[in-house]
Amino acid sequence: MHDDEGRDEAVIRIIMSEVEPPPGRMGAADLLAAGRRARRRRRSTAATAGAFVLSLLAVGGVQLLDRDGPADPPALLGPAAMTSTTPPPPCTATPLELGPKATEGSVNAGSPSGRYLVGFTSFKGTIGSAVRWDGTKQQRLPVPGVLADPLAVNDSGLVVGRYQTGARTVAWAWTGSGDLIHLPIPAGYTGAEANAVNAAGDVAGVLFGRKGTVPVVWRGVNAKAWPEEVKAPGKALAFGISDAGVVVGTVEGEKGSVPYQWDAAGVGSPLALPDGTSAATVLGVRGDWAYGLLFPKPTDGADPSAVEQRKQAAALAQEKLQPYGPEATRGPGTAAGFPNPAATRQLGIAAVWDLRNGTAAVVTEGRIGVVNSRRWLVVNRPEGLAELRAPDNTSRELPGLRGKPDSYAAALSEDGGWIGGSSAGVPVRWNCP
Amino acid sequence: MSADEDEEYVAYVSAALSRLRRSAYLLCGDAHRADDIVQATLVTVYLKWARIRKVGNIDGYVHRILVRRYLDEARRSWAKVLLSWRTPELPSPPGPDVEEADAVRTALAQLSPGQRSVLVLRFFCDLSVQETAATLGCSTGNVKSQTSRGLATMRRLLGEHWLYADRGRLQETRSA
Repeated sequence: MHDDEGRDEAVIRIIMSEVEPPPGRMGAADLLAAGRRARRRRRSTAATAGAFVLSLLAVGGVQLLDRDGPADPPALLGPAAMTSTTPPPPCTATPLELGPKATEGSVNAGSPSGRYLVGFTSFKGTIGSAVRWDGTKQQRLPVPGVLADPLAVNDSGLVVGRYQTGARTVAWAWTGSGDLIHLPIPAGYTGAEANAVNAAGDVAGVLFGRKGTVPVVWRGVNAKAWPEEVKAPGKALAFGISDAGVVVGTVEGEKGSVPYQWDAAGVGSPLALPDGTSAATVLGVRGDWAYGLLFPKPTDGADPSAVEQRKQAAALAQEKLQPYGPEATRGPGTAAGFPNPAATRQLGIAAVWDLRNGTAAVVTEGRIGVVNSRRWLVVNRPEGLAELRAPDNTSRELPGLRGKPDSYAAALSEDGGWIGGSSAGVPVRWNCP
Repeated sequence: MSADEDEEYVAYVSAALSRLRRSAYLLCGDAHRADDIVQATLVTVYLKWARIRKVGNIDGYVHRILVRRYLDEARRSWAKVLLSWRTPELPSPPGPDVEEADAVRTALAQLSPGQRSVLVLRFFCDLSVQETAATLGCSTGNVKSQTSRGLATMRRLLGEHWLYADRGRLQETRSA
């Protein structure tokens, strides 16, 4: 070994040993409980394919959407015509084209029709290329820089995203042919990113400046499209825009991030923070449904001590504590009412908001990949499997390629029949008839 | 799993959790995301515990799962979740320690996921070149070249921080 290399190796060991992450709140008890739930779910799924899987539940003052929310029109049922007595046909996975020299990839988002998917492909862990798929056929996008992320695509095939050049983030759009369009930013800002696009081609994103972050909507996608800053009571981020022009995102408040929506006229209002939660972030919207993460507040303002966590773990190991389940979640409207309170405080709880009345509902076991306007969800479960959940709470697992229990979903069509994501490191499209 | 196996799992997790979190944090640069990766890893470990508990080098095995999880996640867009990790425009909290940690985190973020994984596995998890290659599913030559490029990039990006750590190392060596 070269002397300099040995010296560098010694230095990097020192540097890495000195990096400390912020304190975590996950304990052995939480992880044991999570493992047990995953095991129960796996057995349950194996025993009753397509059977009821708990997905939405009431917490504190939050309405249970299935009971109290607005009724879904019958026309929205689609594949949900499946019932608990008639198991639906299984979803099938098809790998997407990788293109020359690529060995892996993933889908970031998809168009509402399911025709287009966007993501990236790469060669053995190297920085990847931005890609749009039409069906399963790939097309590389002319995105320069690093961290070239296509983040959204509409049914016209219009792709928006961001890339990084030096310390600057650049927002871009690509219409399906020709050069990349750099979305303009107003004076006083140093960078931007484009996070979402609706059917009309309006793009929602974020402007970066010295004073913080500001939500923005570009009307149309050309170099002259004027960015409209969205007024917010603090630093804010926009992550989604519906076809009706409603923008969703997050505003930084005194106690943490507040979920927020802005109507088509730019008038903002906070979304519900359920009892027992102190912060949330909204990550996307389709139709009247937004999705994101809730963060429960500590029950007494303090984290359980390490000794207490160890006690909880030991008690769980001896089956002296009841595992968290649907009944346990109907608590008094505090963080204790959530499943696995300590872990969810740190990791967040997946949630959907009904923008018609501002109510929220939580989704157990996993993160929402995306919601469609009919309130179908794709949920990525902690053990690495994704599932499609219908409004009636029936669910279907998205199988991994070659039978591997490995799937991740990030795109969902309006009819619930087409899903994009990845399995075993390659981009995948699922069909759920 | 039996109650005994559950107890063993709890004992293992209690002992390993801190190190796994640090590994995940070095890999991804964000505490929330690191916790996600660690949780996913340890749920997988729980589901396979009956087999994993008999493995000779449990830590190495679990780190292999963790790194695969990280690489899977790295291929997906976390853009919607963690803005602060990827926007140097946002101001960092003041303070020399925070500044230094931020510098290391930012420098690691400039590496490709493959280079970052190689550096963390080799120099934080103390895996050999062969073990790292097996974990990442690549050749030993690839690990060596990624190591070399990763170290050169870190040295260049960290500048003074690197020199400071090197001086401290030399002083310790001399006084030993």
